[in-house]
Amino acid sequence: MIVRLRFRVATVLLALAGMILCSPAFSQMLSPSALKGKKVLFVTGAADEEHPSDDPLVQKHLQSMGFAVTMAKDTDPASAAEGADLIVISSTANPRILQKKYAQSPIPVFTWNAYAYPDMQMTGPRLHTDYEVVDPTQFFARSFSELYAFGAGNKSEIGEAVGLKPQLFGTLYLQPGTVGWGRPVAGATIVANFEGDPGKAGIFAYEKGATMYNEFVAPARRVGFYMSSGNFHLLTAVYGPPADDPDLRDWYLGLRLFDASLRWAVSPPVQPSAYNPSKLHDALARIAKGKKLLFVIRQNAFEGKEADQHIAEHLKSLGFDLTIADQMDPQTRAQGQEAVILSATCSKYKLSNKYRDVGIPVLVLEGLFADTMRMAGRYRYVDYGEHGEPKESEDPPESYLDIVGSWHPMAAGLKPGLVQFIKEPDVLKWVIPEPSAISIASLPGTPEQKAIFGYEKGAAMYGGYIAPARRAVFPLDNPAYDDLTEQGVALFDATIQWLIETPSSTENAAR
Amino acid sequence: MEKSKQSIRAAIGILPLFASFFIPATAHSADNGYHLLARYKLTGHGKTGNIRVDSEARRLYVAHGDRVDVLNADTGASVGILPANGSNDIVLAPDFKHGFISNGTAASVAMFDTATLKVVRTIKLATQNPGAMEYDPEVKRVFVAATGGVAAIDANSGEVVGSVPLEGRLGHLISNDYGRLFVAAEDHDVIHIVDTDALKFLGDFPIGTGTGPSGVALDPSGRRLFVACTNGRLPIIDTDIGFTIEDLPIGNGPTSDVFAFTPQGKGGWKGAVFVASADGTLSLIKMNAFISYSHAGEVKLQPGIQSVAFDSKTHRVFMPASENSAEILVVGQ
Repeated sequence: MIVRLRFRVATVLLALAGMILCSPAFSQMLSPSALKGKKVLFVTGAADEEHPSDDPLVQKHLQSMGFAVTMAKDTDPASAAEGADLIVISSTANPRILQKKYAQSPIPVFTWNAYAYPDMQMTGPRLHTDYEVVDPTQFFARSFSELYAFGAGNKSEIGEAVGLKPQLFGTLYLQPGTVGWGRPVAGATIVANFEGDPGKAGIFAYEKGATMYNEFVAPARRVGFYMSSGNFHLLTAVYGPPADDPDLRDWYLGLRLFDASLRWAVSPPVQPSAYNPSKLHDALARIAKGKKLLFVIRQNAFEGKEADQHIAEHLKSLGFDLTIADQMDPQTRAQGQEAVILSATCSKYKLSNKYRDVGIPVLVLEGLFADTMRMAGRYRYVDYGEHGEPKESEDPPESYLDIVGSWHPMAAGLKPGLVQFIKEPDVLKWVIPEPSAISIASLPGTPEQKAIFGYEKGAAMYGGYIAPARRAVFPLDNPAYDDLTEQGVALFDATIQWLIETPSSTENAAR
Repeated sequence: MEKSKQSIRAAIGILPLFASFFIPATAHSADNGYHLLARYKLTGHGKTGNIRVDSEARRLYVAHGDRVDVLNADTGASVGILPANGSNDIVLAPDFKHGFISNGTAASVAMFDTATLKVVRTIKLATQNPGAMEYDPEVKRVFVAATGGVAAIDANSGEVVGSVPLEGRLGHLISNDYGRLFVAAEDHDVIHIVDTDALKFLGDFPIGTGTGPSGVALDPSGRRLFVACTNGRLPIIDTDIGFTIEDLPIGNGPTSDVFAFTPQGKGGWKGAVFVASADGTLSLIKMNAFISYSHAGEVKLQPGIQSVAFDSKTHRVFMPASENSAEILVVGQ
């Protein structure tokens, strides 16, 4: 009997392992020991007497991590990277010499050369706006601010690897040093940011396939890091008995973040599924079967009633155990449920703050709920808004979305770039979420305005509010469901699928 | 209590907090003003060990093989001789007018009366090769580095009150007077940390690019630990978090003592560190701020120096040497 039970357990475990390993979205950071023998091309420039370089220390550190390091000059051709597993670009490398040499490289790049960000397509080109190097000689007072960063990407894989929390931490040891930041675009993950500006990223990453600046699609993973040439040795760390204090461990994170960022960069990227709506539908049906789902609508809505019915039918056809609630029902309707969907027919005003705190996943079909749900700031038409509403928007109606997070399961396997979302141009809502959000699709021409995005459970949402469970926004203005294209339905299914899956590193790996 | 601690520190010449010692802020290797002033010849043979200065009593104590030479700090004249057995180090416990000598070849520590210069008790240790010692006025214990760990002796009674097993070949050790003892582990390239009250090993600090840590000094105000390493590096560690904030060049070879002092006020260096290395280099490290130190020159002396003591009254530095004959090098401005 016991033998049979053990056999069954083993069979189940093997099956689970097989599912995980075969999952196209699977990604996992390499263990520290797995770095041994990985080939790194370390690109540096000429030493500057006035600004001592820590490049030799970095080289030694990389070697101590197990990397096989080959040194290269900024003047060397891009072919120097052939065979490498990772390209590391120091800020001593001259960005005017580097130019776009490594931008197209299919090899992951890790760099702390902020001046190289624009040519790498990691940020826009405007100094002090899209990127900046804060040197205490020029910006003495500000350089003190950069001794502190905020752990915005606590649920990113880099963040999780070091136990990053949504709070301040020390970047460099005490003395103000030169620090670089970048303002990454659409598809980036911001791990840490500076000066209370969510987009001013000290550490940020692009997954392979993520949309970078100017619609450039990341050919491989890219990571930007805040340090500068001479302050690797000042990356914070704590040792000995003080390291037993969890508060100190959470504060002195610089070196661990450096190591985790390197490790993430060189790890295999997420391999997204190919676009296949019927396969996606079937996969969703398998996990939806019997799941208790609460669909909150405005009963007898003037507009959108029919669309709500069709959404409900779709959800039922997938196998969900669906319960319909009215917007005025108490939040206790969510008790015993496994997920909630808030219809765009609901009145934001009447819905109040309900479902914000529920400990089960919530899908919001109305972007204007973003502030009450703590998914974005409170400034209407700045933090969230809409395209195509004649009285409330200067922007014309839209039918396309710009896929910026093609690597993520919520993107349904669609390629980066424009996809037709609804059949006719109409109202589409947008939100500018916090950096911790997983961005899937933006509105065309306004990359910062996200139409589809999600927050992982535990992610820091607006004002430091921690997501009690997964949260996602999907732009289904009142009647839009009935107007969805095939790609639009696929995106809807993929978003629901991600929402109800158990959070694990397989989905948020690249964030 | 604080006054008492300061006077103790001044007496043993480790941290003279009120020293008015002035070093020009622009001092460099060529013009730091330090040079050899005198040589105090020692009688007898044998390799010299560590040196301590009692600035109040104007005495120098020099470990010297089968004896400890006690000299007049101003003239070098012999004041007395204490018997020893492979002496390595001396510490003074002014609270009790006791001194202690580590007898390296006898696995013992001699406790003597500093007034009479008579040994009043011989303390047998359970471990071999007692070497460097440190007196902690907070717990009133003398800590002795020996093979396999550190022994703790009550500075009043001379009783061994316990020991802490530690790995590696132990070099110099120093306490911060509020619960922690830092012990150089020469062949492990770490600093062991010991709880001076509970007598418990707490963990290790890494030492940056240094290898072979031998001498240590502490600036208790800045909480900076200076670790002189045989590979010619001086990691400077923030003892609050074990972080090496600087890593400066010094002379090569072992050093048994490092000397540090705290800010000196306007017009002078904010602080300084002296390191006597076996290759004959007296390295001067200047403190620019608690987070910034720089190499500020060196004085080339004869090979074999390893220990350094600072006289808070005359601002002179004493170093035993024994390349040709045993002597004390006196360096000052």
